[in-house]
Amino acid sequence: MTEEGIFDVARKLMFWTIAIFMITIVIFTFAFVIGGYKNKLIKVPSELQAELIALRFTNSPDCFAAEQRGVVLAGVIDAAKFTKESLQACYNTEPRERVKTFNFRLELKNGKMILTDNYFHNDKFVLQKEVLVLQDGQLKNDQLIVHVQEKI
Amino acid sequence: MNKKGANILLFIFEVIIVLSVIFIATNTARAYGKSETVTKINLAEEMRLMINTLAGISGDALVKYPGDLSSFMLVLRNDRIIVFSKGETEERWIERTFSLPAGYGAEGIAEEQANVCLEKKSKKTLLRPCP
Repeated sequence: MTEEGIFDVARKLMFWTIAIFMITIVIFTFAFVIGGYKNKLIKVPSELQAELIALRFTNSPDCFAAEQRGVVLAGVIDAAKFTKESLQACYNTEPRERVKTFNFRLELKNGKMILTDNYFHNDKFVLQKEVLVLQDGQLKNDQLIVHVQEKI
Repeated sequence: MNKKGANILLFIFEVIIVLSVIFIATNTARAYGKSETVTKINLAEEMRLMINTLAGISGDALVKYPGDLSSFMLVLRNDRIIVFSKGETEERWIERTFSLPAGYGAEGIAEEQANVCLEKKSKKTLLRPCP
C-alpha cells in the first residue's frame, strides 16, 4: 500500500472512532429524553393520590367517621376513634411497603396527633380539611391537618 | 493489504455501523414509546386511585371504567391490581399496590372485557364486567 493509501485508511479509522463515540452519546441521550417523556405521561400528582387515600379518614366509619344510629356522618370525626390503633386498622403500610408509600401524621388542631407506623417526619406536603369533632355528645368545629410523607 | 482491499473492508464496516445505528435508534424509540405500556401503567394507576376512593366512602357504589379494556387482563387482589395483555410474560405485567382498612377485601378478574366496573359492596371491592 502506498503512503497515501495508509493515510487514507488511518483517516477513516480516526473518523469512525470519533463517530462511534458520538453515536453512542446520541443514542443514550435519545433513550433518556424518551424515558423522561414517558415518565411525564404516567405521572400521577402525589397530592391527588394522598387526597384520595385521606378521604377514608373523614368519611369511613372504619376509620374515624362518626356513626349515629347506623348512619355514617361523613366529615364528622368521632374523638373516641381518633387513636393510633384505629389509624393502624384504617391505613396500614407495615406488611409490604413500609416507607415506600404514603405515610401520614394526622393532627386535630384542637386535639391530639397520631402517626402511621412508618412516618418519620419527612413531610412532602400538608392537606387540610375542615371537620366537626364529636366528643361527649357535642360537635365542635376543628381542622384536620394531614401531614403527608411520600416514599423515602 | 492493498488499498482496494482496505477500502472495501472500511466500506463494509461503515455500512454495518450505519445499519446498527438505525436499528438501535428505531428499537429504542419503539420500546420506550410503545403506547401499550403507558396505557397499562395509567390503567393500573387509575384503578388504584378508584379503589382508594371507594375505600374512602361509606355505603355501596358502582363505577364503570371510562374506556375500552378489551385488550387487557385485570386481576384485583386484596392489596394489589395487576394489568397485563394476554400471553405476556410476568416481567411485563404492571402491578400497583394499595392498603385497605382492616376487614376490607378486594377481588375480581376481567379478561379482555370492553366494559369493566368496580363495585363496592359493604367492605368488599369487586372488579368485574359491567352488567
